[in-house]
Amino acid sequence: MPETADRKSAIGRTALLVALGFIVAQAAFFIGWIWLERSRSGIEIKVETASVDPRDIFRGQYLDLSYKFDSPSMYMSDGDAPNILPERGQTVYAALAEDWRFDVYRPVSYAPDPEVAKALASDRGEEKVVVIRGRVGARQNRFDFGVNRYFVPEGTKEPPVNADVNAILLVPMNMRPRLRGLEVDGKRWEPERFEVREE
Amino acid sequence: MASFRDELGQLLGEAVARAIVTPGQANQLIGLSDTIPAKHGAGFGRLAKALTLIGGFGVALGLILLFGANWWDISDIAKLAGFVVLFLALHLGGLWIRWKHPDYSGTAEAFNFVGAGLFLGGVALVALVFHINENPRNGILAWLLATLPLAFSLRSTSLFGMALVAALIWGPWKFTDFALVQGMDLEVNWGFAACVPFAMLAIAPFVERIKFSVGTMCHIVAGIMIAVALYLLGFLRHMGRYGFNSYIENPERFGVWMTALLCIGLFLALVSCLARRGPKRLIDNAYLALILGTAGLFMFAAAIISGWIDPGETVERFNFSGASMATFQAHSLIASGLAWLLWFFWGVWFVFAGSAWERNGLVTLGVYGVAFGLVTRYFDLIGSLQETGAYFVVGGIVLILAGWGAEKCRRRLTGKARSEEPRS
Repeated sequence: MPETADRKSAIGRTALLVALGFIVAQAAFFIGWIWLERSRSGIEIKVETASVDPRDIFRGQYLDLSYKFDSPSMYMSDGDAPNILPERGQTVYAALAEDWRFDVYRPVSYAPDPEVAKALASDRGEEKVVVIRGRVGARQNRFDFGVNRYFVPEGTKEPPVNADVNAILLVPMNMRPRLRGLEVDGKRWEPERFEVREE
Repeated sequence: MASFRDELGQLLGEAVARAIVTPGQANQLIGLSDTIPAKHGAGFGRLAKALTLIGGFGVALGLILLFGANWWDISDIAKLAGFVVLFLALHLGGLWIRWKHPDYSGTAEAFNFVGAGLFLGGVALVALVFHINENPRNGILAWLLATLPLAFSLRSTSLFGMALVAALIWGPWKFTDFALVQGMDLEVNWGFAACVPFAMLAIAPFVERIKFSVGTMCHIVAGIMIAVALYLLGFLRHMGRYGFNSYIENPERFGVWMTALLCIGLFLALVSCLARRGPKRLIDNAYLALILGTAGLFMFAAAIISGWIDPGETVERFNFSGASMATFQAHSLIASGLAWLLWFFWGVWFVFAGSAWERNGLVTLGVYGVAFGLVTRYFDLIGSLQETGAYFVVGGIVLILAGWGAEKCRRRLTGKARSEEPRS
C-alpha cells in the first residue's frame, strides 16, 4: 500500500467562492423544491386503501398503505378491460375511473403508455378517468406508485383497525400522484397525539 | 506520556555521551525547542480537532432531538425554514472560518462535514413533510452531487469520504433498477459490490496525486468493504448447509456476473500494483499476494454459490456454539477456513506494514483485527473443544514467532541505522 503524505494546503479565495456558489445553489435547490411541492396543483381524488399497516421505524412513524391499484392481479376480475403489463422495473400507467356511488376512484386498466391506458378505460365505457404513473416492482404483479407511506409525527394515535380508510391523492400534470391526506370513516383524518394515561 | 522536550533531552543526552554533539550545543538545541511555538503540540492539535468534531456531532444530534421533542408544535413551514437556516449557517460558518482563521481548519472541516450530512437530512425532511415516497435513490444521488463538488473545491478528505459513501449506496441501488429492466437477478449487486473495492484500490495510487488524501480515502473504504466480505465469508459454511437457493434466485447467473466483475476489479488492482514505480519491498509483495488471494477466495466462493463447483462431500463437525454436531458441505467449509486464514494474514500484514512505515495506527488496526478474529472464532467453533483449542495454540505460537521475527528485524534495522555515519 503506497504511503501518502498528509498535506494541508491553504484554500484560496477562488476556491472559497466556488464552494460558496455550490452551497447557495444547494440552498436554492431546497427552497425551489419546497416551493414546487407547496404550489403543486392537479386533480384531487379519493382512493380506497386495501390495508393500513401502522409501522414504527427508528426515525419517525408512518402508516404503510396499500391500494387496490398496487396489485392488479388481486383486484381485477376477468371481465375487466384487458391490461398490457410492462416488464418489471419499467414504467406503468394505471387508469382510475370514478365510482360515483362511493365517491372514490378505482383501477380500470393498466398499460405502459398513458394514452393506451386511457383508451382501454374508454373502451369499457368509463368517462371520468384519471391516469397515474408508477413502476413495476421486482415482481411483475406488484406496482409502486410512490404513495404507500403516510408520515405522521412520533406518538400519533393510529386510525382504528376496522375503520374504512381512503387516501386523498393529488394527481398533477406529470401523473405522479402525491399523498395529501387520509379520510377515516368518511371524515378527514388529522393526526392526534397518543395520550398516555396517568395512574 | 513524555513531552517532546523530554524526549529531545533524552536524545541529546545520548548524543552528548557519544560525542556527536557537545554539551553546549545540546543546551542550545533545548533552548531553541522552547522558543518554537505550538507546532510541536501536535497532540493538542489532534485533540482540538477531535473535540470540535465530536462537539459538532453533539450539537447536530441535540438539535435533531430538540426538533423531535417539539415536532407536534412546530409547523411544517417552520421545520423546513429552520432546516435551510441551519444548513446555511453550518456551511457558511465553515467557509468563514477557513477564510478568516485558516489555522482552525479542523473546526471548519467539522462544520462543513455536518452541513453536508444535513443535506441528506433535508432531503428526508422534505420527503417526510410532503409524503414523497417515490425514488429514494434520487435523494442519495442528490446527496452525492451536492457533496462531491464541495469536496473538490474545499479539498476536503472527509467530504470526499462522504461522497464515496453516497456513491457506494447509490451505485448498487441504481444497478438494481438496471438489472430489473434487463431481466437480471437482483443478486448481481453482490458481484458489483465485490468488484468495487478492488477498483478503488486500483485507482487510489493514481488519484493520490490530487492534493488531498483522496487515495487514502479510497484505500480506507475499499479496506472496509473487503474486511466485511471476508468476515462474512467466514460463516459461509453455515449458509451452505442447505444450499444457496434460499438466498439467491438464480445462482448460475449470479456466478457469471460475480466472476466477470471480480475479474475486472482484480485486473485493475493488478495494473495499479505493477504500475507503481520504485523497488518492490517484501511488504509490497505481501500486499499484492494478499490482494490476489482475497480476490481468488471471492471467486471460489462465487463458484460454490453459483453451483459451478460441486459442494463437496458432507462433513460432520460441531455446530455454532459447539453444542451439537452438524453437517457441512466440504467446499464451503474450505472457503470458510480460507477466509479465516486471510483475515489473520491481513491483520499480521497491517502490523508489519505499520512497523515498516512507522505508522502506529496501522499496527493498532492489525492488532485489533487479529484480536477480533480470535474472539469471533472462539464463539464460532469449527470442531470440538480439543480441535479448536489445538488451532488456537498453533495460531498463537505462529503469532509469537512472527512477533519474535519482527523484533529481530527491527533490531537489525536499528543497528544498521546506528552503524551509518551521521550526515554533516
